[in-house]
Amino acid sequence: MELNKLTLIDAIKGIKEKKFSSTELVSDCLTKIEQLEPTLNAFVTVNKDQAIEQSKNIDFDKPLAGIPIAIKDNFCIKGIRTTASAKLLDKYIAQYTSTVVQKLLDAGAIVIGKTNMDAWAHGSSTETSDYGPTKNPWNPKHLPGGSSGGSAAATISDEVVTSIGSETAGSIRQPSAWCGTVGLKPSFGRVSRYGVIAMGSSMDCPGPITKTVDDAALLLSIISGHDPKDATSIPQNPWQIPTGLKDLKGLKIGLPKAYFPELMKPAVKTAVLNACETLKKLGAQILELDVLDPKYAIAVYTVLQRSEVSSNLARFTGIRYGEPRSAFGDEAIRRIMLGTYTLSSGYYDAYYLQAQKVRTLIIQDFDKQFQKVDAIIGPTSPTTALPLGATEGKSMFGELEDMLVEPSTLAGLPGISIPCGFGDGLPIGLQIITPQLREDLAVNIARLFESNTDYHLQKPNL
Amino acid sequence: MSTSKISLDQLRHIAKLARLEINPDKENYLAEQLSETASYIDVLGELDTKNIEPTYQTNHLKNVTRDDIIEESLSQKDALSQAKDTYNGYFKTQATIKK
Repeated sequence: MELNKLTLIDAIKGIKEKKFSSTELVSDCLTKIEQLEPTLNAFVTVNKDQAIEQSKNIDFDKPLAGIPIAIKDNFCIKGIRTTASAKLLDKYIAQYTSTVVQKLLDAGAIVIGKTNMDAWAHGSSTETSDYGPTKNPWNPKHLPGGSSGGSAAATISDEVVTSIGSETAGSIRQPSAWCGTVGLKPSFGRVSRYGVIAMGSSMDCPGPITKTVDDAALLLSIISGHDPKDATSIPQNPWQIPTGLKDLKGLKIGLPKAYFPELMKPAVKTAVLNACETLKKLGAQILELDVLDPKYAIAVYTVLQRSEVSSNLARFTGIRYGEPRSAFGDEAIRRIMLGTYTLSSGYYDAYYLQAQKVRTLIIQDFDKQFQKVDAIIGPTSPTTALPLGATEGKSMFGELEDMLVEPSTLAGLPGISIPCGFGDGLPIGLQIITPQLREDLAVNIARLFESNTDYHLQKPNL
Repeated sequence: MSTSKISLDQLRHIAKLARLEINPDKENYLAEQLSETASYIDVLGELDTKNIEPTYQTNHLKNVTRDDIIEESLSQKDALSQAKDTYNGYFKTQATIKK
């Protein structure tokens, strides 16, 4: 039996009911990893011996007892190499553990490996990794998306049962769309950023990348909650998994016209419009929305993210850890340079301050929309997975690919991407955005959509 | 705001601020790429933001502090474990002030 093919929920059940052992599950995942890694390159580090060892001694009372989980390589885990897929941190062994991983370990999970990503999470392709691109399991000539591309590829290819990623703008949702996984991006502050190598500190959000909506909900309930070590952590108890809805009667769902840009692939448009029909059959009312042009979100995101990057990467001096600044790759240099420019004397007001004001306008626009509708849907990405090499020489690749997730990111809103179709054999993602701290509604709409469709059951042929 | 173009002089100044050494062969290419990015952000000037307050982060939490209680933190050994160069239990850096 290939236990690696199980969902998280089924794997937990199997271990608790002693149908199989954690060691068998871990071994099946490791076998699959060994088989697929030469093709996919989804991992930077695999904790083979450690994972097997830990699987032999598990506490059945814990919610994730003996569950192997893949963690994006920007989460620090004490004693384990943590590179953020950047050569500057090639030899860095973390001296402490991130809150998210600590919570998973406390819940009984086993870290099976660290997944590949765009270096420093700077990108939407996993092609800018200093350890080579991850390939899309549906077609290895294509990109998996990013920056959490390793986690999404490892999950859909059944190298693991489940995984954790992180999102600044799109890095959970977009690779989920391109790989056919479920990606849940929580409200900003719902999940602690402590111990996650920082990119854009006013937006960074850890979150699950999974095979089903229920798997994502379970992981969010475990990793969420207030953390005094993160000053932007919302003082709230861990998120509770909501009781499911029977249907969507009485629910108003908005479909922004601007979320169908000209560059959109026709198959994506068709899939999302079909998804609207499914939601209507479930009782929802779909309303077209006029929202602020996403080009402003692209601009705000570009300024804020580059500015925060230039500040966050200032700590990499080669003195306390890592290699000297000369080890930064081209993409990191581009971002640090632009961020230094937008924060520099004479440009601060026009760029950084103006961007923070336009961010307020974007938040106000969402507030206005949420007076009319309960949730907003749209395509997660305007395209399906692009071919390898698509990012070369494109300084704005990520921002343009992520144009449909940037507005909600800037407003700190939660969102979930779920599979809603295929185009040329590549998955398409539907995103559901809800008001701040309303992950319950996003999860419930996603659950109903998932249980009435079978896109999530399809797997790549590898 | 006019369309921004980043000159080589500006590029060198920014690199100095960011403590980055840019390979002279790459200067022109990098200046072009930064100018391209700048052209996308210039749209910010199109919107009227008079009387609009900036949002620095979305939770509106302010001045988050903790009680002044000593807690266990990284040991000196752990803190120094990743440094290339240490001396008597300290990080070793280049001198910033000339003798």
